[in-house]
Amino acid sequence: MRTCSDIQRDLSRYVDDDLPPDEQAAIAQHLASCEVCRGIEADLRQIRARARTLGPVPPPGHLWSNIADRLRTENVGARSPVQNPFRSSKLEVRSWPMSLSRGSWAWLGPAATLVVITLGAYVVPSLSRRAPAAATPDNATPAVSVQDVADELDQALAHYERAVAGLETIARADGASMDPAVSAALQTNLTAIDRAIAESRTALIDQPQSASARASLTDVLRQKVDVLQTTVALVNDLRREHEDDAAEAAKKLGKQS
Amino acid sequence: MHTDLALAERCRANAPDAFEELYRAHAPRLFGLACRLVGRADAEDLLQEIFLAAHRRLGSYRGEAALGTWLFRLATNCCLDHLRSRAGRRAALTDELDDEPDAAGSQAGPILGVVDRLDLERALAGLPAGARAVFVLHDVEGFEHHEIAELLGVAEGTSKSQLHRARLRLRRVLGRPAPAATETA
Amino acid sequence: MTRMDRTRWIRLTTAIVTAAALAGVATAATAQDRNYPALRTDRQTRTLALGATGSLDLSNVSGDITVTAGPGTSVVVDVTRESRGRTEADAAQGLQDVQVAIDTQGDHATVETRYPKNQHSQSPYRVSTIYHVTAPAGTRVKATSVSGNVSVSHVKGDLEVQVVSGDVTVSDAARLTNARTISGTVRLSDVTSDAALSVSAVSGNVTLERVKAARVSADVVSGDVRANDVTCGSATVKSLSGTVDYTGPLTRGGRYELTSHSGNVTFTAVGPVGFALDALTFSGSIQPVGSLTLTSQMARRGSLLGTVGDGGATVAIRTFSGDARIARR
Repeated sequence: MRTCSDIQRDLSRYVDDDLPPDEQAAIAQHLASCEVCRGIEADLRQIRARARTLGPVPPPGHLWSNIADRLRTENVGARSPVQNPFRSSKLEVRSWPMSLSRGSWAWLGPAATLVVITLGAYVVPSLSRRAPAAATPDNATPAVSVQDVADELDQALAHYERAVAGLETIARADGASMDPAVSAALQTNLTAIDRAIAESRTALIDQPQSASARASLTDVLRQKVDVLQTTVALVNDLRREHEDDAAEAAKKLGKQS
Repeated sequence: MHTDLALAERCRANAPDAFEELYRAHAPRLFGLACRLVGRADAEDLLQEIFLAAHRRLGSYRGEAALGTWLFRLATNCCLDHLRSRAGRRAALTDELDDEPDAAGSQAGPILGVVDRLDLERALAGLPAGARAVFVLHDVEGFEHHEIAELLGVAEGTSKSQLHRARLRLRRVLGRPAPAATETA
Repeated sequence: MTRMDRTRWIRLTTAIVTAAALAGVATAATAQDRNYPALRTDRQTRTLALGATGSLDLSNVSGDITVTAGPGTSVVVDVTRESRGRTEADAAQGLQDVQVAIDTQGDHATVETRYPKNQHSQSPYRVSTIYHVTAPAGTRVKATSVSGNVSVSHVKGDLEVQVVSGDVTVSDAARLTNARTISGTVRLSDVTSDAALSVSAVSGNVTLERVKAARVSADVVSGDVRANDVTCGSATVKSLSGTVDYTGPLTRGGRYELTSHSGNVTFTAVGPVGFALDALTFSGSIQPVGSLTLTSQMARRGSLLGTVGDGGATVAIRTFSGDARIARR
């Protein structure tokens, strides 16, 4: 008669179906009447199941740049020069569709064309012995490479675009307008950033090996995201603070005197 | 397999973007493996070494296995080599877990609530290298014991017992604290 | 920069419009005063017993904010509302509609200027709310405004200032974390922060004088950054089209990144700690100034690498078309 200790020592193999049939059966029978061993078995199964879901982890963006750089130095000599990393990210330039009502919301829809850089999809085919779990975005680290910054920009701009579309509806109802000085400042600055982005991009396409062009592009892309996000955050904070009904506020003040 | 060979060919021929395509397709899985085997800090450097090694060795890929599998083996070997060199001697990789304290007599029923993936990753990082390697290769990556034995240079029985102990250790770390009386170090 | 929380972005939709609406209402352009000849003023003072280290969250729409330290353990909030209307009745309506809401809980107070919902630019009044706050030096202060200047001095508690349109001036602060404006200047003097200090302006200059922090980050799109006598463990200073001027002692092991797209960058290291230089430009020039000597120098077109002195810190300068000048005192 096997003791619980004996049974427990084989529980992993049992859970993995790695025992001869008669031993599997014997353990199954034991488990039917032993809560302690059954508990351990349940836990082992859970650990195993959970382990299976530990999936791929997206590496930080700069790793690819490092690899590409080192490949470049290793490619000196007989091999052909390493290609421009930016050719690989399918750069697309398109006008940002800004269908805003005229006048009031000028700052949100700069007259100049906003350059939106989009990249090809991140392909992850499943070639493992078991279908891997989906990539866990919560494992992603802050982006450093241009591709990741451009991804971030794309996402920020996509949100911005949606917000703007929503604003248009509300704007028509409200007829409000932002302080023209601020709207002009924002418009001018976004345009300036876009010009800088275009400059750096052109420079990089002309000189794919240029580290300074690459650094410039990364910097200005990041700056654009920063400006958009700062503006949004600031305005969002302010809006949240002034949300309440003024009448309620008046009541409160009355109580405080 | 056909597309694998084609991609490998393109990489060998230094076709533009080919190697980056390879990287984009396989890096997340290999990075996950590296993080779990050697820890996040070393994994970043190691991933670069893995891909540089892959680049150098692509000449020897003949399509006999899926490219992903071929890369995976390469990555596993890199990681294990790294663990060995970090340990200083071969023996340390087979750092074995001692027998877990006997659970007999402890509370009945499962002690684990729903196991959070992050908790599991953290608990995993706390296992000694050898036991962790067995657990990662078997439970996370799905290798068979005989393959693990070959990779680690241990007997198959050792692989099985280390797996069991690793699971029990994780169970203990992840479980609700048992009453003090039954907890032995 | 972390990715924006998706929910925050969706809230943006109503956020911008509401704030914009408020700003529209709040515009107090003097040229328009002709259209709003009637003026009604109201002044109130509130004393909030928040203790020596309370916290104050002050949020305004239009009008200046001044915060300074004073004795005692109470925060004194002096609010002047100026309501301009087309008629007296309109001006009075303004005072009635635009309120200051003060909410105190324990040692924390929120002071907000509130406008009624559905405000629009066609309202018959313009209201400006001017705050003068005296707080115990240890008070933690967060001051935000849509349109108006914010000045804070001698505050030693945690400090954060954000403005959409207006200047931010902070002097003699001990724990400033954040000073931002979209359209306006940021001026810091004699400011310290025990961790990270972040300063930004989209359109306007940023000036830092005698600033000490573990990390300094200054970001301007169209404007200059002038950092004089800045001491920090690491700095990231950027402008898109303006100049970047940085002068200060370096911390051993620190990293100092100065970037401008089309403006010039001038870096002057002060003191005994040297640095490893990594200067990169696409079409500008890189000039070591005066007696600056580099060892282990590697110069290529648009790039200069080398060591100055003991190479104790790292200085990275990047421009696209601006010139880079490096000096040492």
